[in-house]
Amino acid sequence: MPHPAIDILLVEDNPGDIFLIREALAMGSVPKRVHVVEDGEEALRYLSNQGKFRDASMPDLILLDLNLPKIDGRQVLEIVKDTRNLRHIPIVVLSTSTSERDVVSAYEHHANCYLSKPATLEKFFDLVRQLEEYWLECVALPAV
Amino acid sequence: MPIEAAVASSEILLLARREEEIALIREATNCHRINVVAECPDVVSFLRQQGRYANASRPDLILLDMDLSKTEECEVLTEIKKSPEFKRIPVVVIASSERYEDVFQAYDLHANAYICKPTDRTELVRVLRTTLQFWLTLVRLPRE
Repeated sequence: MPHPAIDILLVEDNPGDIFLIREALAMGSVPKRVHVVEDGEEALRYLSNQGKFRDASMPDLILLDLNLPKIDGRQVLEIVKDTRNLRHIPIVVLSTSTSERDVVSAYEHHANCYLSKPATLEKFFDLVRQLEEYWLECVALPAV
Repeated sequence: MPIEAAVASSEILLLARREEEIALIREATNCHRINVVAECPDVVSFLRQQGRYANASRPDLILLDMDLSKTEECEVLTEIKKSPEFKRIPVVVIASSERYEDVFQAYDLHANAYICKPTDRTELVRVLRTTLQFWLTLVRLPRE
């Protein structure tokens, strides 16, 4: 059965990481559209269809960095998971932070999973490949 | 890390009723150390170390083989995800239903991931292995 395209919202401010994540996601076989926003404020605007995001489709999966300009990723997570019509969207945290406090707090605020960005490009690429394979090919997403 | 080693060094709590499924999960992981409970209330007793679970260890990952159309099963997920003590433990729901409503509800109740059980046995073993591999070797899990 052909998959309908999956909408992924990538919330990431590092251009190098955006490039790498896009490339790694593109290698997977599941059709997808990757929408990128570069700070927490834009992420919240996107999710509430404000301004230029008026016609944006709701993502089926969110990849969220924690250290972001304007509104921090931690706050974005808290807001999304406290909002009735958004909280079902799975959020995968992808962060360089290895602090146990960030990890515990992310899960306590109902992040669906936490992945630490590895230090080398090769490992990072491989991690995103595995993320894609698991979340898009193995898991059932709440996508209509 | 090979999956067998990852499973051996982790505490997994599995809710599954049918012997056949328990055997399958053991086959998928090649491990007999998984803690299995057969009834919903036992999940909470296990976590709270009540009664015969007085010596239970805190799980790193919870797998709930369940049918979310049943009230009792939704309640156990709600109870874990509302408990300040246990809500950070990742919960993967494994279910037969592919209905959008069931998938949506699981995520709405803060399940960390939802897996649709393939009917084919080999495929099911593959999905279970992929799930354990992902959560136990790639994901940054919260420590106590």
